[in-house]
Amino acid sequence: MMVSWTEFAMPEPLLASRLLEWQRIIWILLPLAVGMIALWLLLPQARPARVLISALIAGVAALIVGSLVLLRPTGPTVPWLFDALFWIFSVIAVGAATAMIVQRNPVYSTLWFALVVLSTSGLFLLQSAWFLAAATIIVYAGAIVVTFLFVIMLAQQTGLAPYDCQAREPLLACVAGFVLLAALQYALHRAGPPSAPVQSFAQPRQLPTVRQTLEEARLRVQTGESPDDVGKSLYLQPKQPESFVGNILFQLAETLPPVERKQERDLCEGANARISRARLTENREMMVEGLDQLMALSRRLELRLGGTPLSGIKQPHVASLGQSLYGDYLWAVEIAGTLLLVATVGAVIIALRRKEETA
Amino acid sequence: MSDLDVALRIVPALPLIGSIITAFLGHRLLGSKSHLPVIVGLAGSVLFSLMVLVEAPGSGRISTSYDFIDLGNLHINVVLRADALTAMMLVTVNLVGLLVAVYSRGYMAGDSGYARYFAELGLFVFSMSMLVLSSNFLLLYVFWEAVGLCSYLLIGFWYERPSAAAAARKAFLVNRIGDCGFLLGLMLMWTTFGTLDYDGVFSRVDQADPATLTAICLLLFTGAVGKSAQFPLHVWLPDAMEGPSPVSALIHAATMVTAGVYLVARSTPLFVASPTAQLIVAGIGGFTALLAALIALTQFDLKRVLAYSTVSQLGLMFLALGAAAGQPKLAEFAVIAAVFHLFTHAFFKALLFLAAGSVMHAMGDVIDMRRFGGLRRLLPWTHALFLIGALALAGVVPLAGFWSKDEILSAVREASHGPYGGMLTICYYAAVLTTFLTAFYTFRAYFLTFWGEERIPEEAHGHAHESGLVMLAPMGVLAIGAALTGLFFGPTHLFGEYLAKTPIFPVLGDEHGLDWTVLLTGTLAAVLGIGLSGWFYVLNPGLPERLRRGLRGLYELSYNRFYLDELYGVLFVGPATVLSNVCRLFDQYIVDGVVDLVGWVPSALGRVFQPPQNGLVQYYALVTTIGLAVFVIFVVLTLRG
Amino acid sequence: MTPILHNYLVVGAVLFVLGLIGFLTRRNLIILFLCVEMMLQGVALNLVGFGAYHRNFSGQVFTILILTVAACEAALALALVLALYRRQRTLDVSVWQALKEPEVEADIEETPPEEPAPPPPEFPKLTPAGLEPKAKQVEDAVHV
Repeated sequence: MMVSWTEFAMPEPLLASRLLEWQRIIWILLPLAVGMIALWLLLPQARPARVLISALIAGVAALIVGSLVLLRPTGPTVPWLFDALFWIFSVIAVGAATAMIVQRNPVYSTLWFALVVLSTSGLFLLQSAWFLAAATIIVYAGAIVVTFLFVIMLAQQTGLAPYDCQAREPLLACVAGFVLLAALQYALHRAGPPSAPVQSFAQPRQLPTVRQTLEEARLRVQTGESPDDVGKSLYLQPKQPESFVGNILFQLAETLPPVERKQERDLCEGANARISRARLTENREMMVEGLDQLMALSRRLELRLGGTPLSGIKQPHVASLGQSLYGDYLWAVEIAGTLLLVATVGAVIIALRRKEETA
Repeated sequence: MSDLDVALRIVPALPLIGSIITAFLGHRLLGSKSHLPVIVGLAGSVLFSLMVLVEAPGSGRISTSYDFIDLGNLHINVVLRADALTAMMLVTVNLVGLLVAVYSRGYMAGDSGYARYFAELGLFVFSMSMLVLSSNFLLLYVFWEAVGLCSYLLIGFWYERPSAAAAARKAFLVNRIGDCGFLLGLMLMWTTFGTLDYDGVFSRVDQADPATLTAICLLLFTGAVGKSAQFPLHVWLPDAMEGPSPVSALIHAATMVTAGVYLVARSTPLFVASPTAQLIVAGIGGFTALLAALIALTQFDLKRVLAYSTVSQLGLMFLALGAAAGQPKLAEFAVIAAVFHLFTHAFFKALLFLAAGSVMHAMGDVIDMRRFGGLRRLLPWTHALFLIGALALAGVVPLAGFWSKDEILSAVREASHGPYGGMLTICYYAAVLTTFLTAFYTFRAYFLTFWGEERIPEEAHGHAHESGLVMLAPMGVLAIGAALTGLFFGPTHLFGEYLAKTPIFPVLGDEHGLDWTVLLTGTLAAVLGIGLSGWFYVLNPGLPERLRRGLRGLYELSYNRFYLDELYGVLFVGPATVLSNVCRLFDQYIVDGVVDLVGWVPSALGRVFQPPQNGLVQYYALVTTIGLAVFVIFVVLTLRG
Repeated sequence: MTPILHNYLVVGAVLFVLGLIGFLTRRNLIILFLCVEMMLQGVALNLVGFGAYHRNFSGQVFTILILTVAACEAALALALVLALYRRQRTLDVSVWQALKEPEVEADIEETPPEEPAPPPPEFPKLTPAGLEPKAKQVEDAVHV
């Protein structure tokens, strides 16, 4: 797949720094263009489908992307198993999607769609979205696809329909899709590689260090150092705003259950504001007060989170998702539920056979 | 608020209310009873104007109603003002209006615009009442225009006839010319005197520069020329009989043409101060009187003869109004003579028109005198009434016209002894000649209509009949007025004494006894005219034809109204038509072209983008996709620079 | 252990655009809705990827909401498809062109040549005994 071939996925000789801008853009556009030509040839049209040629062309596109991927420098951040699974799932997803839109038989199309859903769920799994993966399979593959099949069989009993065998404006649609996809890819390219996630500093194991830093700072303030100087020592890594201890504590407080979270977050915000004001006004008492509040918070967090490291997502289980759903997004969930109810009623009403129609 | 104040407000209010009721309810609810509100209102107005007549004090009674315009130092109030002149005019207007309305009840019965007719009639009388009641020139101008509008509506009452529509348009446009002058006069008056109030203006006449004063007077007179159909703006009046006959009676007798005479009479203090202006008024009046009388000699349309006689009589009135040139002492006598003639003329001219209407009614709307004749047995009452009117118009003792015409002749003759005697002497002889001609053509019309062999046009469908009581009764009342008003007011000088109370006549003239020379001259001219007419049209029916052949040129000149209409057509109407055609072409091709272009561009663009609108959802989605792609590219290229 | 955000975004975009192309080209109403569902899958992948990147559950919660809406949409859409099918007895979207401008001609495309119909099954023929039937009778027999 054509993935992040800027700094991440360029083969060594083509590395970004040695390429001009337009050359890079060509590398982005080439596989897209080839893929679109293949798609165009595959779409159902008046002439007989040229499966062999288009498969060949699609193979070329895949080859380009594959070579780019295989030749890229080994990324240290991603374990190889995850990487491999990602490639497998995405290749299946894209392949199945292509098959779905070029398939002339609606039943087969629906089945290909089910495969797309399955592979997407696999991609969800890779991103620690366990519940979502399960839910997508149940809802889509289980419910929606089956409903689709029912309707297809209800409405179309006899063989292939002529309208399924001829696509409308395939060339124009392919070009438009190509332009849109190219624009999106170029946007990604312009955006550059994603910076490392901002919360990399906030780990429960840092809590002891944080507490130690706070205690030292308090001592130095009491011995008469300027609060502003002391304030500079409150960064675990110099000149990195994210490494400010107040910031770390704030982000850790975010991982608490909703009831405690709000209270602790507010408290942390207050203490941070107090410290920054104390640094500006050289007010020792205020500084000490703010530091004391942060120390109390870090102690409570140590007890609560127990110093265990958060892996990947902070609480990778369904409980946290449930907390977020029914805590932060309660209204949205309720409204969605109501919508579902209304839609059910509406579908029944619409699908109901009326008297004059049956007559 | 005294009784007089109330009466002053009620007089114009009643016709207005009647008119409004008829206008809003007439067509739907009242139907054939649409005349009731207006007739009742007019009857009330007559009563209250009689009360005003009795109670109107010598000095102008002012009754302020409300502020009309309050702009800087321009304050115009709607002020009603009662003095002798106003009271006299009010009675005339409302009485004639009432009689015409009653007559119309029979004459217009069954017309599809019955309610509209009476609504417009009420409005007409209201406008005229307000015109004579107003106490400043601006308000007078407002109702001056209102009268013009009403006349336009009534002349064009049968608007589906092209000739009626054209006559209404002609009346309106010709009046516009005069009104334009009037408005300019008002502006000049405002810049000169700083006020438009009668009292204010008249009290400051001395301060004005004589040339300016003359200019003001002439501009006001332009308005009067237009409204009162004097040369050269007389051309609209004879055409105005395209309207219903009662409307002609109203216009000719009470509500329209008298406005010009009233304006000049009302502005006497201004005119007195400007002999030049007065001389021009007298000159135009005399010339018009003679010209119209000459034209009337050969017309065959009964109403047209009467119309030209109106023009001629109005000319006499203006002659009197201007006669006092250079002799301020004579002013009061002359003006009173003019107003007296206006008063009597209202009666007999209304009578004549209503009688002509009666003839027309009986003849199936035929008015050409060559096509009927000898109607005196068929229409005995109409015949008698018409005869009274004709005698009064001709100025036969002791009917009304005799007395008032005699006063005018006396005034002019007396004026001819003054400083501008030369011209006024000519005017005097013109007036005497006019008197003779008036008697001649009036009785020519009378003899042609009622004497000779009985002839009835086919349009009457064999059931030519005398008019009903509802039409004869008003004519009877008018006939009484035409017969007796002169005898009652003339020798007794009652009218003169009453009118002299009007505060605008500051210079008290001398007593004027009967001028026997004038009296005899006038009577002789009238009798001669009648006699000659009888000799021509009764005793020797072949004579006029022989005469016509002998004096072919002169006859054609008179018959074609001295070609004035044609002259105006060439001089004014033609160029105006060319200009308006140029404007029309400009509008059609350039203005409309631009507008069409504005409409054409979007529709052309629409045609370009129409094909994709084929109703297929996928084409819409395709366009959306392209738009999305363009947007994404735009964002990528600009936002991240 | 951190998944690379870009990878997921690219896969999401490709799924989205493939769904889009399918929506633009196919004429079967049901396939159209399938394609829309696939576009939603692409979007869901994006959301989950961002959620994982930011280490919170917002992305997943949004995806669950999308799932809900997708279910609603599928239910209503299929009901509508059924209603439309009952009217015209076809699933072809080209039939529904009522929104077009009156001047534009209806865009009913030529129906493509059908897939060559499968040859009629060969039945074993009886060897005629006796006289050979005449040609006309043979034709009739074939038709029967």
